[in-house]
Amino acid sequence: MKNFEEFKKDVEREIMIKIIMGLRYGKISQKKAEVLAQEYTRLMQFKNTDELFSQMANIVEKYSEMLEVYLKVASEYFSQKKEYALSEARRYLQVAQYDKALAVLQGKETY
Amino acid sequence: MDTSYEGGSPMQPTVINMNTPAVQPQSVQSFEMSQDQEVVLSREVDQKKPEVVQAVNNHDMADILLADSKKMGIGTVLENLALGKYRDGVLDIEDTDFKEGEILDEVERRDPTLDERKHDVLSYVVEQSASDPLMQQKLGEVACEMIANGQDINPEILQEEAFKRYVEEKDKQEGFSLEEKVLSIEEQFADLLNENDELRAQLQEFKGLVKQQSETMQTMALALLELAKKLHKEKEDEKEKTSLLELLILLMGAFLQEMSSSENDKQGKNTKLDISKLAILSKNEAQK
Repeated sequence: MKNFEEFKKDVEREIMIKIIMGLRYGKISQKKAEVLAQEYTRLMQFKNTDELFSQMANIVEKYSEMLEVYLKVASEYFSQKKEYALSEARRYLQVAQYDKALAVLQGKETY
Repeated sequence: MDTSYEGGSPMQPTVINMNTPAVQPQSVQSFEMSQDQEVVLSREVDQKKPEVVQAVNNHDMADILLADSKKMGIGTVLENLALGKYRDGVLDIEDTDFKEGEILDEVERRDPTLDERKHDVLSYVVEQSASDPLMQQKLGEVACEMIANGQDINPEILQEEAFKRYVEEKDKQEGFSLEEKVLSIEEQFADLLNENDELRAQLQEFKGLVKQQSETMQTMALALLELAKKLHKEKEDEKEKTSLLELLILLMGAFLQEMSSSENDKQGKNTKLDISKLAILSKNEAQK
């Protein structure tokens, strides 16, 4: 399972690839490259994976490059989150802590 | 009348053999640009300059970003880029550790001035057109026409007219009329819009799936937990309690898998829930 730092690295690498390929094939301007890099620095200020991807989901409307990065990296995050919720809920159910299990399944616990 | 024409490289004399006293071979022996032609060329270069220079800069910038990413790490490069240190494809090297001499070399290496770039483009155009057989052919054609019309051959007019026809012919050959350029750009723009729409649709679908999955998960979790609580209270045997919970968890997992598989089916994957396995599992649990 990937941790927060690994997801950050994935996002970072994908954004860089989009910028380099965009510049090389004339899809983005230098100004846009700078703006994408600025968005990246904002994203890197978040402290956990949930915040990182929820912020990304907000900015993908503005930048198609970010949308492509999000679609590539976030699917792994959601799938991992589901597995995490299930395993945690299982752990709580085994010790009859139903409320905690419910909270995990409802996504109230930070991943 | 012999009007055979021998062309040469831009650095070598270009000779036109015409057996007529009206011809002034000396004047057309070397292909040198008149002031007017230089003006025409400069204008052409000036028109193309912004896009050419921009493309060169963007390409350079991409290369520099790639090289620096390997050297300094992607994070640092992105931070520098965000701060505008890579404007015009050139890293603002004040913050780097180069010595003074090395800085100058680095600047020279990374930032050929605009004039140098322009000069490069201009030399390239002159060189290409002069050595192009089409340009030589046009010179010959114009010279023939002037002779046929009984005009004196003025080298400046000859070269100017030949270059004009050369440019027209080139444009025709390459099919770069303004309308076609506009059409091509419009097509590219339409493609980008379509791509954008597709990505937005994908995003909406993705968000919808996540929302649906989350809602279903919560509803199921509530229902199953209620059931688990009820059964847990009813059963007295600890072993039975545990196996019951295990079964419930497995069922929840199976439901969630089924939800995921419906998403995968849309993408052509087949990961349907194996009901027979669940039945065996339930049977085993019951036997315990």
